[in-house]
Amino acid sequence: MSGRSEVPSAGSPAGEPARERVQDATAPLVPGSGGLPGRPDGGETIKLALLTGEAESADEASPQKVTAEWALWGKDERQTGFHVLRCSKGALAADDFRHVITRYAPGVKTDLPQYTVCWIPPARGRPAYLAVGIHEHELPDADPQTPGGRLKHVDGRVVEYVRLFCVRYSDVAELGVSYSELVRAVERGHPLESGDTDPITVELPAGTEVGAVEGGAWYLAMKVAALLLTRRPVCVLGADLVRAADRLAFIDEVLSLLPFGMRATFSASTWASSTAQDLKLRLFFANARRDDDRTTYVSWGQSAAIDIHRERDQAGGMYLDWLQTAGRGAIAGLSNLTSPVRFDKAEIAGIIGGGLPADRSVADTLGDLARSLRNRDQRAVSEQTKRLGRFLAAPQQPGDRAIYRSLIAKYGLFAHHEGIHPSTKRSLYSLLLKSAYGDPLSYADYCGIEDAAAGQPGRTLRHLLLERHPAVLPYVIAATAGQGVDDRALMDVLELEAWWPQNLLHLLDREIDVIRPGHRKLLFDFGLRYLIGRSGDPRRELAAAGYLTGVLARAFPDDLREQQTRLEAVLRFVYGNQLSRGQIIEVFEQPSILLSPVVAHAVEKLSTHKDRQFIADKAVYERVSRGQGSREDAAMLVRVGRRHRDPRLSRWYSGPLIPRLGRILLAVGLSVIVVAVLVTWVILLRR
Amino acid sequence: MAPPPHPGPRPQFGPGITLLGARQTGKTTFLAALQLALLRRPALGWALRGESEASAKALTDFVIQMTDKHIFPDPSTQIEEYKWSLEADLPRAIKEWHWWGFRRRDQYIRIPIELVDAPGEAFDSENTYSQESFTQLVGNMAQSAGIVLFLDPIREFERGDAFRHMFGVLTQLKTQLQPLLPGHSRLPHYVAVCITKFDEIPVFEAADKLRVTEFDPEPPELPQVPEHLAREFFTRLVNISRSDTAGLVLPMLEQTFRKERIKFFITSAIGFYVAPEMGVFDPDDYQNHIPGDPDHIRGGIYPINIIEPVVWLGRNVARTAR
Repeated sequence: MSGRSEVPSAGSPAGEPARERVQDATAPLVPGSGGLPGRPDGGETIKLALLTGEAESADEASPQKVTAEWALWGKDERQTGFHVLRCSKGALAADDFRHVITRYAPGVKTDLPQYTVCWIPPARGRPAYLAVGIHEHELPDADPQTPGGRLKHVDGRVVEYVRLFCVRYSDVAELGVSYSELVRAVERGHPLESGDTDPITVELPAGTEVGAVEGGAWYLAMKVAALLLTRRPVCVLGADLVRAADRLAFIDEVLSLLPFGMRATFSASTWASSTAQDLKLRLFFANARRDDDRTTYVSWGQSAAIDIHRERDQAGGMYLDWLQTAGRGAIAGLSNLTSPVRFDKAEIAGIIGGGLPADRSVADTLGDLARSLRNRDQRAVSEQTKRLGRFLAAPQQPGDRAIYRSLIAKYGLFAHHEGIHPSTKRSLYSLLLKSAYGDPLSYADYCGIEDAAAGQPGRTLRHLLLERHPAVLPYVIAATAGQGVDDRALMDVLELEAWWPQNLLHLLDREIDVIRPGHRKLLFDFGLRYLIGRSGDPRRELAAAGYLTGVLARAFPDDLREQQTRLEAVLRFVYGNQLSRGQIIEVFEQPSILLSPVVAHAVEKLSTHKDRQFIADKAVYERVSRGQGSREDAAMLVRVGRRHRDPRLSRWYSGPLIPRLGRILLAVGLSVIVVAVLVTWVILLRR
Repeated sequence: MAPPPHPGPRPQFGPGITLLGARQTGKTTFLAALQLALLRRPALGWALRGESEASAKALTDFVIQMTDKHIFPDPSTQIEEYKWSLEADLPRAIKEWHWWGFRRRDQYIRIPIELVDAPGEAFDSENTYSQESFTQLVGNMAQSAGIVLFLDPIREFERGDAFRHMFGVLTQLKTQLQPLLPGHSRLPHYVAVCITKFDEIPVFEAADKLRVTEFDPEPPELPQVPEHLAREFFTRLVNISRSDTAGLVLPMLEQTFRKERIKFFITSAIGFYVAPEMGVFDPDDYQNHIPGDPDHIRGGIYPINIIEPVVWLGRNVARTAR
């Protein structure tokens, strides 16, 4: 349930909920700061993240999960040499973990954390595993002295711990998980405390963007991928200042340019000692050349300097040629080749000789996606989403966007797709948005997305829209169109972006005619709540804005009931549940009010029975005096004038109290004088 | 008469020197101090040079860690290999004969040394760290002509595990090389036995009580145990060790290697603390290693007997490998 406050409704004490909200507001509006100058249109984007509430459904909240067997490597006081401190009890035993950690040890590191990725072959009925090791001194946010139950120092030296997580290769291949995703999923929240022995369930982060590395690094990754097929280790130099997480992303990028199955026999590290005698790593980063003839070196950011065709092994050169000409669709198709492949001359030749995928364009991919979504084929959708991501790693042309928009609308790709995992759906929506819409997302874009979704966007899509920092109107619509976003959070964000309530209402007033009817209600209601909740003097603001009668009339031109309900709510907030005669007059005499039958009806509903006729007369009078009256109004005015002799007399009983008393006193005085004269005359007659 | 047994392929010894010792015996610190030791004693004329980019970088990192940060180098977690070389211009070392007589000429000497440093855990035959590392390490030793054996007397007092760490490795080494050395019961390696951590209070006090120390006449007048007394000091230390197996270390060494190729050195990688205001060794305030979390080095570094074993091994190894 969202925390949204409703517009004050009939029967509630006048303006009370709003009053509470005003008091709750953390930062009262600075008088005069809500002006519009400098914010002329809705093109300003919202740059701040909006906190989101709970999930719409349990299905949407559940991320992809994999089971990981684990081990913690380090030292303790009992045994001061490096050893497996604790590990899970599963298919892998302590000896297996020890073997993996020492075999792929990258040597002394200059700084931590660092990451090592490696593989465990199938054995004795045990499946193949992929492993990721996090080398670290201590756990983040842990007690500095005993982080996560670990000793920071043993024998006077800082201990380098390794958290090793091993996931079945088949699970990784099925979900298409990258090492960066895996590390993000386990780095926090899995400290591997003592006493635990069960394999852990790892929740993979949802909606990871594909192709996260920059363009220059992508070309380097392409060459490194080809170099790896020469079966010689590749060392990347000159990346000392690049964060370990970014180096891991680069490793993922390289892997994405190779058949997925090569991960089954691949090892890499974000840092390795150049003096380590026997590194078992295929790809690693270092700060100096090693003393061997096997390793091929590349320099970070200098892909042009690599001439792969000089290599004696032809496989690398041929593969690079294929990568450069195959097209992004074909490269993305590599993720489909999940059968394990060894870095073996014959197997590599087999792949290059005919095992590489054919190209598919973006349009083809969108068509493929439509089919796979219809068939609820999770695996195909996942692969095609990654393929799409590969395409979109390159900059898009504005012309392409229009084509993609029409295709997305044609295939209804923004619809809520049943049977597809939420994280895949999130990735898909994210890529579709990226492919078809520029930044910032305009209101027209939002309408296009809504059309492509064949209705209100689902929660996942709405949240993605919010994350893209669209213009203010689509932002508010996306936030209020369903559950999950708290009103208060939305108001906080708008305030931080200096989008004051007055700005929003002014924008609404200006744009209301081009806003779709379905959105008008959301925008008006939130705008009113925002004004009531966060404006310094909402009553004065509402009165000055003519109780929003103008916007209401244009927002709901054919629906007087919608207008009247909202106007009643506004009047109830400003004046309370019942209007006095003076307040009725104040309402009608507001200069900016748009006098329509709705106003009379709304005021009448909040007045006593005896004021009904007065209200009707007053409404007619005000309309006529402002030149807004009709023929019927004029006729009615004549009838009213006849009743009161002069329409101006209506002011007689509606004027200020003191002049009215004067008239009464004068009448009483005259009456007394008359009576006195009559009495005197009668007395004189009797004599 | 039966033909003599076929000698088989003779083992090929390279210029490598393998460091052997339990964890925390100071192997990596020894390496790190080598450059500093040479810089402290320019009169010797020796200089250390990295033979490759990686080895030169390691040399620089070691020196910076110890001098700037005053911390000990990170312990090895992999078998690390450093290709360095000791070089010197020895003045008037070569005598050249001419028709008028002879003249002396300077001689440039370069001793390549390939030092292999393994994590101490790799030597432990009881708690096998990694079979691959162990095998690799034995392979390294088999191909090396020299071994630096590190014995930490403090650790020996507390844990007495030197024998356990050496036994497995040396047995494997002997098994691997013996078929290649028919007619020899002992291995031909040169072994520099370094009794480390001479700067620690118990070790220095023991040496002082045993009257095996000498003081350098040059400032900072640091004490040291001369080479000819080192073996004696080691034997005495072994005798007072609480460990049952400490006494087995020396016999095992002498049964594995040729006795004349084993030499003892009492070493300290960081040396004694020398107060800058005094500039000389103070017997009442000399502790340079400050235990803590992590341990750190209190003052300047004055390595003791660090160059000597390497030069001794380097010369012999170079001759063997020639």
